[in-house]
Amino acid sequence: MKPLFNHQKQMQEKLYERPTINPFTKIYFMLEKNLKLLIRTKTTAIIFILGPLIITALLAIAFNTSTLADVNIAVYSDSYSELTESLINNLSASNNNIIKANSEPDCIDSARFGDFQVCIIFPEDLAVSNDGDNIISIYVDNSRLNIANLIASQITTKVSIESSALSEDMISNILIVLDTANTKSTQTKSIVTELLSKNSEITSSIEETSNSLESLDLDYTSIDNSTTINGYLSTLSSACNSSSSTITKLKDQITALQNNYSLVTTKLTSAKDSIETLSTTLPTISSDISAQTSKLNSIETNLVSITNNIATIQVTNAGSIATPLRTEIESSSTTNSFLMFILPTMLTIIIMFLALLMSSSGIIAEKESKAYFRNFITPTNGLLFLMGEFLSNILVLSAQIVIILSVLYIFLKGVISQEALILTGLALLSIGIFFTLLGMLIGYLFNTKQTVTIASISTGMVLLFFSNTIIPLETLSSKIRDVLSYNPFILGETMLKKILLFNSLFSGIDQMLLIMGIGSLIVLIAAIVARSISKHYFST
Amino acid sequence: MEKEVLIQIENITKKFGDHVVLSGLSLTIPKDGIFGIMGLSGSGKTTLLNILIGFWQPTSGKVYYNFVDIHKNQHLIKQLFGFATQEGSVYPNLTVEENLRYFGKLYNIQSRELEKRIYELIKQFDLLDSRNQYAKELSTGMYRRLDIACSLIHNPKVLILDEPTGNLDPILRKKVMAMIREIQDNGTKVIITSHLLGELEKVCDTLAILHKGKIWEFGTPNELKEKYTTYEEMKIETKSHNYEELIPMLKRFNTRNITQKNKELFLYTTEAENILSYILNYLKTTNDQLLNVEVSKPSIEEVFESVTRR
Repeated sequence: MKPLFNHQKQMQEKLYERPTINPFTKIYFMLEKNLKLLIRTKTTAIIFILGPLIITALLAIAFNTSTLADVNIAVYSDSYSELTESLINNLSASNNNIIKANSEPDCIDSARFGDFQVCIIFPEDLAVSNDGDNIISIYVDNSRLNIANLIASQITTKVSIESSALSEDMISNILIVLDTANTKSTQTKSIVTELLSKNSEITSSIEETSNSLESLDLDYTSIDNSTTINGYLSTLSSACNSSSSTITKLKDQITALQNNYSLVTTKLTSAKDSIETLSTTLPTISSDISAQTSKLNSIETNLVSITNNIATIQVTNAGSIATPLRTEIESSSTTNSFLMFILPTMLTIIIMFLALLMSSSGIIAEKESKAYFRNFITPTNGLLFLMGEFLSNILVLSAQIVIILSVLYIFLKGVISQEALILTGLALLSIGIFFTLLGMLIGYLFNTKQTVTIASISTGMVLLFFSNTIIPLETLSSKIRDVLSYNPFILGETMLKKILLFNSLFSGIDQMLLIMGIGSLIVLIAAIVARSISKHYFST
Repeated sequence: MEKEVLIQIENITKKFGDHVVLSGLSLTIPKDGIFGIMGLSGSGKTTLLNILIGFWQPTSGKVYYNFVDIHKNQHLIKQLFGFATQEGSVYPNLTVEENLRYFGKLYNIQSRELEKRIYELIKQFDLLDSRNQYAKELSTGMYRRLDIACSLIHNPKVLILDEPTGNLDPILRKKVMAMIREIQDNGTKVIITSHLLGELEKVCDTLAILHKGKIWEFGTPNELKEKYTTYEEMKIETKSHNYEELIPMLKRFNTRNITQKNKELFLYTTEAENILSYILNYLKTTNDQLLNVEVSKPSIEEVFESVTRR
């Protein structure tokens, strides 16, 4: 059938009857309708208000502390030495409950099955010695990653402190010995130097002596004059006809002289022999002295080397040698409370699940409502319905954020500034907007309450697992980490950390807010498409 | 006499995946009178209505309202059509007034006009005393009246009702049908579907039979009856209310379905005059008296059965 063009035009003119009213008016009425529907379901209304209130209050009360309390530690050693007892006393001084286990397997099992947080096995008769294998084993339940590392770290620190003290004592002793050796080396060196000097003198003397000896003229002409002398004596005696006593005395003298001469010649001969021997021996002695001198030089050099080497030791403080590098864990945040540390993560978790579940269940309730169909046959744009739903959820979520912030302000007054609180609210709102839209998308995609709830929780859990909350992201490859940097949970958590722990200003979180905004836009478009597809819900 | 056409459906087909619900359906809905669509459960009545209001697009074919393509002028058509579903489409946790106000806003009605319209409808549908009651607290009949009132909030030119009397007791069904007649009389064209054929026959001026995705028959109830059956329905009541001897004798005529219901005898026959003549003679011989006799065309159920048996 072909309609007549003019007639059709006339009909269209007749058909146009009612102008569209302001879309904000429609949104207002949708908001009013949604809030009424929410409030009139009393249990839902109570849970929406009390839920975040109770969760936040409980968190604040439970975690507003900075230490671990009542850590139970089991210890075992085949034989407890003094050092072992000292270590155990050190551990028990930090509010830890220490129990000595009956056996090593008992101790390990107690940590495995959760009776104790830690089991420490000390070697038998633990002491510092040359042949000691002093390994202290710490057993923790690694499935409790958060507490396992914390406790193991605390215990390792305490053992390290004790170990450092022992090292320091030993090193002090070694330094004293070194010092003494240094002193004695110096003293010995001066003696050696003296000896060297003496040796040098001796060598010179030997040389001189040798030269002197060589210069001695011990040559003589041997006189065989006894016959001559006797002959002369006889002549003389005959000539002088002197008394024989004088000649006898003269003879005696001459005999004595002859004897002395013999003696002298013998001695000279002997001296010459000795000098010759000395001339042969002195170089040897001189050579020996040179060799000793060389050794003394070597000793001197070694002593100097020892002294110099000891002098090169710049660090002479025992503490610095025992522990040359120390680490000190400083908190980059201004607080040590566990509450502040976990607050960014917990707030993100709360808002994420609140927004996901509230918006998805709201959409499914609307879809399951008999009135849902009528919305599709009214001359109202589908986008307005979506905005109405979105704004309703955001309004409720904002009220919940206000409740959460109020509770936090009560518990953390003085720790969080008002500016930080406002920025926190802004960050929470951006997180809430994203997850509200995501929840709405889930609500439009699925058709039953159960499926929607499971999908919402699964989505939240996936985002939570692929954050730093459960397992460090550093365990994943760098490519996956790059992708996960856009995980909205991580973005939200990071924003809150920057604000709450590091007092960041708006400029510190603006990039992340932008990314969240872009993500929200993408999800919004997907939700619009999903809503139009959800018409097919009515064909099932 | 050719009737003025309000809605023209041309060769529409509707598939959901591989499942064909409507196949090459063509139909002309006249401007005057209440139009009824009969069909078995699952015949595609709701799908056809959803196409009429523009909720579904047909896989192929066209639908025109006053020569205007419905699916190219959705925004316009939504303002002119009202629709009440089988289960009702109101918010259980909103009051009667709140439901009307909310849907009125969705139909772009300004506040002053809306309040006036709400009052009119509440009064017309006898919901004045329950205006502040939640919809979930209303009785079944009131709930259905509210649903229809929400469909009329924007004063539509055409009101489509999908099984408006489903799940209602006979008294309520009668009230709802009377209300539908009133709506039609007030100037709104009513298109109604139902599987309660007797009601359709009573209230509708034109009927269409939807079967296997097509319109098999179309016309006034009497036209359909005349087309599909030559039998007439006779209802007889005698003074004695004793028909034991009479029934075997009537079987000699061209009759069928001779039954006694309470004090009356019902039968279908092509020889109504002959039978009447015979009964009068019989009663004379038995000294009985004829109290009442009615001769009419059979019900629309029979027509429907004939069509759907094919």
